[in-house]
Amino acid sequence: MTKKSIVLIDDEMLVRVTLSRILTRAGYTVVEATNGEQGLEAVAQSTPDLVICDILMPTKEGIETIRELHRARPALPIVAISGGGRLGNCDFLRHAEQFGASATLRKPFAPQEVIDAVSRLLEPVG
Amino acid sequence: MRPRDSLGSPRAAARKRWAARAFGLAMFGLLSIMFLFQLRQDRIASLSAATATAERLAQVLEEHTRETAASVNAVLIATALHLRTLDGAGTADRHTIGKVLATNADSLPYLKALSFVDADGRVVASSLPTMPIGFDASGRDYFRAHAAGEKKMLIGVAVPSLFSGAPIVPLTIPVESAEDGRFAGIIVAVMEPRRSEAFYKALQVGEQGIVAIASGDTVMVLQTPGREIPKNSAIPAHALFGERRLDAPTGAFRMETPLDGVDRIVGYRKPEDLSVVVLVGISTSEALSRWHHDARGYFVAWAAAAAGVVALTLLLLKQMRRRDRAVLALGDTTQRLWRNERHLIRAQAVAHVGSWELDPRSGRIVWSEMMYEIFAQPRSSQLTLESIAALITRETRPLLQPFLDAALSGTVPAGIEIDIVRPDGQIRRCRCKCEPMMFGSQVAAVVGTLQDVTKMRRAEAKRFELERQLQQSLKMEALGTLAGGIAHDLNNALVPVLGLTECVLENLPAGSRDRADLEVVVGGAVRARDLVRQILAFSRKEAPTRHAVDVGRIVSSTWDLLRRALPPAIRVECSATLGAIVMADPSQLQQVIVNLVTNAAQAIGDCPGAIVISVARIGDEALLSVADTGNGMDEATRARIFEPFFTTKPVGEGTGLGLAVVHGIVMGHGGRIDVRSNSDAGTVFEVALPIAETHASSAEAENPKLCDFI
Repeated sequence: MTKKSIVLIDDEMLVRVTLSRILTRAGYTVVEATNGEQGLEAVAQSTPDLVICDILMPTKEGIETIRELHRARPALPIVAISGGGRLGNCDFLRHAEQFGASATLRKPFAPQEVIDAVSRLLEPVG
Repeated sequence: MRPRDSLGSPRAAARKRWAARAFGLAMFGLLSIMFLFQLRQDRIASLSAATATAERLAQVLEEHTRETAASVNAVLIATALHLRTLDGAGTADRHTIGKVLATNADSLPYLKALSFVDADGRVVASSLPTMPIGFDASGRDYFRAHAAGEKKMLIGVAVPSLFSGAPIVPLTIPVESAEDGRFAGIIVAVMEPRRSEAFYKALQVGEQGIVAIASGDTVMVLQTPGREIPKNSAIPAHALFGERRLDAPTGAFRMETPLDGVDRIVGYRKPEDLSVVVLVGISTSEALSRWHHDARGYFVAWAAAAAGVVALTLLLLKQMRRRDRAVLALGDTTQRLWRNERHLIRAQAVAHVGSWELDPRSGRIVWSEMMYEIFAQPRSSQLTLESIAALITRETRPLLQPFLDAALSGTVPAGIEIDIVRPDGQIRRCRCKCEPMMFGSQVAAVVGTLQDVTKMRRAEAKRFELERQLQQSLKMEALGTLAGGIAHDLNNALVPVLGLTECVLENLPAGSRDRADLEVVVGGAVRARDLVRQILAFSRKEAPTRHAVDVGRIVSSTWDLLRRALPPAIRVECSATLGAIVMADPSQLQQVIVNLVTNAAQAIGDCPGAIVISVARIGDEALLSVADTGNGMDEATRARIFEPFFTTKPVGEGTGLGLAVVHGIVMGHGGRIDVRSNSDAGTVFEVALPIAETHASSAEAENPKLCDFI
């Protein structure tokens, strides 16, 4: 069985490093991107099995990225992650679900939560 | 009260003036009628007086005539006796008889002549030398009457004298023969009435009056005005009396004399035994001359009285008109005053302003209408300073006396605001102003206003509250934005701490020292995460999910977690009863409990102390109370504890968000939160939430994930 590939989009280096380590240990291939633009490029080049996308990012933010990804590849599972909002009163994760995210995780999360969410999406039957 | 319209009605005034005119006219009419009546009565009296005069004069004339006739009769009888003597002696020649006749004729001044007519009717002798002897008098009425046997003296019809033409009246008696007593002739006494003129004049019948003697169809006028009716002439009776018959022995009548057309009152008498009628006529106009004179006097009196009545009426009318004008003007003034008063009352009602006036001497207060409205007092209430002061709340009552004292001492005091209590218990806020009215150096009165500013003050308070809320919400929004940003960055920072530490933990053997250390790191990270979540919950204000939950169960499920998190020096007691079911977000409710207990623990600090948690259902409310034995707080602190970022703890030890979050959650659930505190005996927080309408409980709702709080 080939390793499942995941594109990880987050502007925060600490988050990328942590998630990358957790997922690599769990046996996934991780491609990192620092913003939405890069993430879309990475998805186009590597055709991953899953995308993990932050919401609040400079240059191109997560909601828009998720919308474009979902439009380009509707079958691609997307996990939206967020640490809250700079703009106050709205819950971006709920919006992300509406625009195509398959699951959401609230930062900070335990390693097992990430593994559970990813494995549930990639091996729905198992 | 509205003034009566009729007060100044021009129509009513005009009616009164017409009545005055009618009264004046009636008085004038009455005077005139009285005048005419009096005139008529006087005329009647004058006429009847004239009639009486005529009758009386007729009587006098009658007596005179009778006396004259009697005298003549006596002379005639004496002459007749004398002649009989001569006859018997046979010496009766014409000359002797003439002497006898002349002697007897001289005995009476008004006898003009005595004549003897023999039995054949021829004049035999006469006292008058000019008398033609042998003149035939046999055709005369009196001769025939005597020849036929008439013994009485006859007065013949007046005839004009043969010589002078003046009327003469023959009076005759028969003479009998001395020998055989047969008719021997008659003696004729000729009387000249004019010789009695002085007597007739003395009758004073007036200038138009007449005195006459009628005999048969002939009348001799003895006294007359003279022109149309010739004096001492014989005229036909009808020329003087018309067809009137003088049958009665005495009488009076009024008629216009046909001869001269003069109206006269005539009195007449028929002397007994004489064949004549005596008459006295008085001119009616002369009889009425006195009346005419009097009538002029009456007329003058009437004219004066009538002029008086007219003048009085005109004066009265003038006075009435003047009064009417004054009444109309008064009516106008009254109407204007009334309108002004209405205007003032309406203006006061619109502005909610009442006015009052205080008499310093009597202490009496006069109120405007609006004052009664503001105080909600009946119009009949007697007002004194004491009774008004009793209507003012105890808190603001002390303001009144200095306020009035200042005005009574002649200065204008600053306005005050008092609260008055209406009879229904309603409290109104009123603003008072007043000024003294000076009379010289004395305060004559204190005049003031009282304005109901309750609505204004309420509106001000509301506006102030809205401003405060706006300020608060702006502050909260700014804080929310800031908190959101901090939370985001903190969460990112916590991702590797929490994630990678757990990864490392998995590789460490259980019970090793490294593992224990790392577990502490995880604990700290979890606490940091929870803190961030609280900040986010505060800043986000998400709509909470609602279930029917039992507050008691939530407390008991959180109990273990709390017990473990608190310092061992703090004793925690819990008395939770089931049944206080509310519609709530279980996780938020848990957060309320955790935050309150954490706050209580922080208030106790390191010292020994106790926290008592209790849940009870009281009425329609679920009551959750958390009491501590900590330091308590002062009033200033208590007022601000629910403000975000307000903390009494040193920098770095508290966020100041815990109680703000509690407050937000409780308000979001439609509940309320009370704090009782005192600096020595600690603090009690009481959260009251409305009981759910249906008590149906849900198993899922009552089984929250406690692991979130570990």
